[in-house]
Amino acid sequence: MICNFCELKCDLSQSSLCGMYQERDGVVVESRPDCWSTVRMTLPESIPMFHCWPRRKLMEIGGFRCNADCSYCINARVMGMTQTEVSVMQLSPQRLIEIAEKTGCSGLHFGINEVTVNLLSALELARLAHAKGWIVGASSNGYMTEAAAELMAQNFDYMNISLKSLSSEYYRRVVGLPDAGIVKRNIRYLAQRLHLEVTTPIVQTENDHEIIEAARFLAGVDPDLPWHIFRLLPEYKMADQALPDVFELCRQTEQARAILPFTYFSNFIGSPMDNTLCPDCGELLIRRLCSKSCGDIMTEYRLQEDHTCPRCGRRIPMLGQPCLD
Amino acid sequence: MKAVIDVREWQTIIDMKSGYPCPFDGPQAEQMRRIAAALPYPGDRGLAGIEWVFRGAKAALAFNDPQWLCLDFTQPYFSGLHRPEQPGERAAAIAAIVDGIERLAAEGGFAAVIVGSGRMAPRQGMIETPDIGGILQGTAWVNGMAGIYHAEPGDLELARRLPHVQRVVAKEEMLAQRPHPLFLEQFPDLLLIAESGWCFKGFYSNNIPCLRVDCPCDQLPVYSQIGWPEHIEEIYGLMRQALAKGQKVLLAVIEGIDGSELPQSRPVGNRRDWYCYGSYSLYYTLVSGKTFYDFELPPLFDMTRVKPYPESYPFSMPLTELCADSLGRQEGLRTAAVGSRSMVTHSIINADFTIECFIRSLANMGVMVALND
Repeated sequence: MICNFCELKCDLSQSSLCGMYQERDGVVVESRPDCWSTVRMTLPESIPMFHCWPRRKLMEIGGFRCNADCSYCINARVMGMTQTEVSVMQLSPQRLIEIAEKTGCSGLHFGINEVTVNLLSALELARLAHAKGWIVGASSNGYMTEAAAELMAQNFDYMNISLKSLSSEYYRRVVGLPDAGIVKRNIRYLAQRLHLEVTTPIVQTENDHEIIEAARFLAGVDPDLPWHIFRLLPEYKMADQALPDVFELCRQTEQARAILPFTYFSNFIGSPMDNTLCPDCGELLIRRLCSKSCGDIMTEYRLQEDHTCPRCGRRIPMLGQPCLD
Repeated sequence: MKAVIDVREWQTIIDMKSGYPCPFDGPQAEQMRRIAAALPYPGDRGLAGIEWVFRGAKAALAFNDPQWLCLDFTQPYFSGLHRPEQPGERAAAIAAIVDGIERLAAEGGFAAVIVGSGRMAPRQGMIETPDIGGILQGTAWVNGMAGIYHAEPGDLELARRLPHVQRVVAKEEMLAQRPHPLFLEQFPDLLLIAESGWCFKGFYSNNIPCLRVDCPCDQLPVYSQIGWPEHIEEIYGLMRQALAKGQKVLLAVIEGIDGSELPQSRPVGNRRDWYCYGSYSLYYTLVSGKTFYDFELPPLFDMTRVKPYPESYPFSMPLTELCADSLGRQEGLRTAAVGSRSMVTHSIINADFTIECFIRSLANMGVMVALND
């Protein structure tokens, strides 16, 4: 039987690449359902999701293993690709929802590892969360099948897809996946079906030259698509790689904003490029601080309730209202 | 407090209370920029990170000629945390730290006090808590303790019967101590302390498995040139006395080492009631002389608590304010702090001048050089 969650489409009678699915009585099931490496509270700004329920408390749930093998992975230990065993806990979906509710969360986010390899467990949790009126979203490398993308579109309110490069050669060499076109296909599809933001981790000298071209691609998908250029601090096989040049990437971000106005450059402390400005009048609409690794906090919110600029009335893409308690 | 944050080849100057960039010019600002640029942090593991602290200390001496200098070293804590240490690696690191402190103290005319934060035990296993109704919340680094929030009736008895749990502390027990209001607010309904080497996995626990676990230490190793304390809470008083006599004092905290590893040290009491000092609370009592009840963060605090919007001190741990009780803030005393304990250095030690690595969740984001107003 062929696995139809990830585009690698492993033959489950052989060993699958992620090791998370198996065939049982003619059905694909998870090898370790409801097993999670990480359960913690997060805010959308930390994901990053800058145009989605600002400051809303979400429970971040992370599994382990992945269908990719990014040479720079900052979570390689959790992906189980090193020899160290990942520390996991098994929690029923009901118990996880209970924990989220008691800790004041009103949404779930699947992050840390690739959601596609834990999709059945994630979908069950999404169903329970939606029954409570919560929001549900996920971070993903975008290398899922069209069928899995359809399941995600039906069950998630938002997603952040990592577009690591436009080049299949880069994907093969650095990401361990064969075809950039799959990710681009899924970005096009998901942008029509849910609130989508895209993140591109920059590896100096590897994909930093693609920024303007990537901005054009994403603008072709949706001219108001939020895009996060991410200053990667590479680890794992690329731990010695030079860090991205902040000055140069600030310059390129400015250029990209002329093509795709909601482009951000973050993951370095004190980034000046993570605020939301009105593309029409330049008004500062949302102010943020990059205060930690992989994460911003929102410090000022000036959008009107109908998500328009208070100065010129321009509509700004935004899912939900901010939590300013 | 104003700070230069250097993320390598790029700097910004921020006001620490608001977190926003702020104007800050003049010779001090220029000097801070140069220091930050010259001290890229090489990471927590290995001798380079230790040498970084000493280079920073020399920069601090040149900057404000401190009468009280506080250094913190985390390398022995981290070196064997996630991977086995190489033979001799640990001993070499500790020797480099101790030798460096002695040299720095001699060159700068300081009387030295060195505190080891206690041993770490090889991990024995994880404590499962399937029947507990409340929410077990761990922390990323203090794995030998966990808190139960939203405890349900019967959880106390269940917790007491858990294998490998040596102590359960109920929140009610704190009331008699009249702790800091935020301490009480964040203290779990039940705090669980594991037996040596055992750790918890729960909400907020680190997803990277640790090979060693911090464990409560009734005594900590202390080496002192300003008199010998009986208890860790007394070191602050000894430092004040020495400073009042005109002595310069260097306080160094070496994380993750025990008495057998700190030469010429003596064991010093480290217990207050049910608690053995460690982590944030250890720093707090060393620099303030106050007990852990007086600090706004209890030994295990509620990680789901979000700071009020807009946040104050967004770069400064979950604290709502910098530690005003620290010797670092004593009027008329020139103070400096340098260390690899990241934000603890400016938030708790809170000296006039600070150099710290900017690391969050093991990600090396750069270096921060801060000056108190």
